Amino acid sequence: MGRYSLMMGSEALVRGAIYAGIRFYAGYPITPATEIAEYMAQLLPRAGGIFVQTEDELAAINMAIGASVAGWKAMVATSGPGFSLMQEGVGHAINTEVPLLIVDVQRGGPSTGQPTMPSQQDVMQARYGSHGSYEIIVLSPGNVQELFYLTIDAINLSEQYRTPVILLTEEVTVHLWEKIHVPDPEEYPVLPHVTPPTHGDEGFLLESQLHDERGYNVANDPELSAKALWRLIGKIRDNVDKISRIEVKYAGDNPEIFIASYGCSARSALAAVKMLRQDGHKVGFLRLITLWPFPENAIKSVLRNANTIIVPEMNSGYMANEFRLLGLNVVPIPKLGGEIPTPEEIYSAVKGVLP
Amino acid sequence: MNPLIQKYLRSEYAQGKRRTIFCPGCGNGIILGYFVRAIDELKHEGRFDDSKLYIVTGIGCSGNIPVPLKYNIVRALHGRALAVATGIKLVRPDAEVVAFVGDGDLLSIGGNHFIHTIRRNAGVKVILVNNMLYGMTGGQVAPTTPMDAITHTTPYGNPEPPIDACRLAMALGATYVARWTVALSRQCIESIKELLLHRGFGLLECLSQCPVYQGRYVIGIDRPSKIMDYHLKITVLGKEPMYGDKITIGKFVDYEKPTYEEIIWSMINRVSKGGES
Amino acid sequence: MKRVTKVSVIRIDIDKYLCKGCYICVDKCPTKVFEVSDIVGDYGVFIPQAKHLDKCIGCEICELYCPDFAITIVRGDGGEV
Repeated sequence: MGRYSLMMGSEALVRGAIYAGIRFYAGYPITPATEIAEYMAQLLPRAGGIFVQTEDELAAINMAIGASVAGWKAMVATSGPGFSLMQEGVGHAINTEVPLLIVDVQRGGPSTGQPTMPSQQDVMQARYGSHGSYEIIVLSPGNVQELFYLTIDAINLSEQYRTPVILLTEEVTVHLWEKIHVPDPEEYPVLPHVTPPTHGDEGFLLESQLHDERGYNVANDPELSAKALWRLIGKIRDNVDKISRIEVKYAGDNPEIFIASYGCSARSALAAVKMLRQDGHKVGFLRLITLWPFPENAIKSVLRNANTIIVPEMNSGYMANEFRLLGLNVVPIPKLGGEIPTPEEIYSAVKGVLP
Repeated sequence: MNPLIQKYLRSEYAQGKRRTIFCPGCGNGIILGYFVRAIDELKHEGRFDDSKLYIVTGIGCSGNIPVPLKYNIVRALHGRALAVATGIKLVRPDAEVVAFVGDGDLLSIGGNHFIHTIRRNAGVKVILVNNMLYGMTGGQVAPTTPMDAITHTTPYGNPEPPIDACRLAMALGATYVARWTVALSRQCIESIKELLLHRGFGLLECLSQCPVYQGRYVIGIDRPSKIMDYHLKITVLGKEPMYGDKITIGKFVDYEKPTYEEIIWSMINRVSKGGES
Repeated sequence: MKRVTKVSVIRIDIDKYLCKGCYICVDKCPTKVFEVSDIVGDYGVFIPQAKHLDKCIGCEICELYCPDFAITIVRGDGGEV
């Protein structure tokens, strides 16, 4: 049943998080994620949760890890510069298998960059930002409704796989006002929180060096260390097909040309596909909902008949490279500067490669 | 086998399959013994419930002190132990949260969290193990190393004066601050007991010996018992913390004021009764 | 704290598996109860032994100062410390 409500992206994200059971938020003010912190400061205590504005982003992610270990679902939200500071926390949560939600509202980078302009420049940092070999789940919502539901999905994934999950969105999406459907309590599935395992009357031992099942350090043993790290990587790699999601439209007639995009750029991409279809061209639409792990098998089966992919995005062509690795002919539309690629720009790029 | 091992250490230690990794004569092992005995005495007197104990530990030799214990142990990143401990204490205000940190961990990279955790008066009990250098990485200079000392990164003498953690804590408004050396066993155990029963933030700094680096490079002695004597020689009982040629030891301050978790929880209880989200 | 008259010490055990040979107990015992023996422990060090138990005053400094829980003081009524 539920109800319909007009709200800003940030508020949808916060309400989705509280719906999913988040009761601890630690954050530091940063444009354009400050509204998330402000909505949390208002709404979380009313739901019986704890909001903390910390002294820096490092304290934020570490407090969230502590809260998650102690038994409450926890999250942090930041933008590019804060995300860079949080990378060691991301690695720590991966190694100690602590469920956590990290929201990165992308703005122009690098460094202080363009604080008030959107971008999609952090897609590779979300995957490879922390040191070491690891896998991570990254979701990319395309509109305000998805900022509500994908937040819940991200939190559920983090509990199911005991890993931090990154929700990667853009400044323009969290500042957008749209009408969304808010479900009733218990209407949408929410997984319970998991804490580290204990053994009999002994408490848990959470070790950040590579460790065995009891928590003891195995860093000096090559065989046991490799086994421990492959297990962490396998948690996600072996379940790619269950975790990753894509959205496909206008593909029923097996087009040879596809426009593939994600996040805010995908809205322009869909508009461009509609314009091309109206002009009689056979073009398909593919949207990545999970950026990482990259949905390779799902994409390959959809693009069976395709030979050209156009990838509009707001960075220097990161995801276009990923599609190129699949052996397809890729036409990237990398757009910097802070303006979303327009449907007309994408339309002209496609017209340029049409047979 | 010492009965304390069976009672307080993890089963692999009690079964004789695993041992502590400290160097011979390391003060950290002695501090572990004091901590276990303090809890044992408190439990015997019926004043402490150790079923709700979370121990957060930093990176370094001091971070390895509580690992053998049967309690919930959370290893935090270098310098971030107090942030993790605050997160745990906020979510579980009924639990006891103790943080074992080294001098480099707490005062160098963790300085910012040190300042704000004390400012908030979060109910985290910090046991600062001060061996005056970075031990795990091979004996480099730390914020607590005496001036002109020779270490692996100050081969020509330390150009920086040391920091006094207890004085900084008092200036920030800490409600329990004490400093002892590892050689003063009864005082250390009593201080740990007071720390565990204290309401709000508590800091116990314990001068510990590192025979391998602090002993051989900074002081010039390698026999652990002689380093303990040296610590007794350079320390003097005092009312105010001082950290120079002489280091004052003692219990400097012990009072109470509203804690962070009390304030946060009273706010939540007040606001969440009001209405739905 | 209630003062209990402690029964006298009948044995001081040094655990061969745990002793690392730091000799804090040997140096710090106020009545010199310990001496370094020629028994080699599991760490490859000569472990100390309580050779002069008659001089022991029961101060427990040795057990308190041992960094490795290697010392166990056994008192006359069979109760360990």
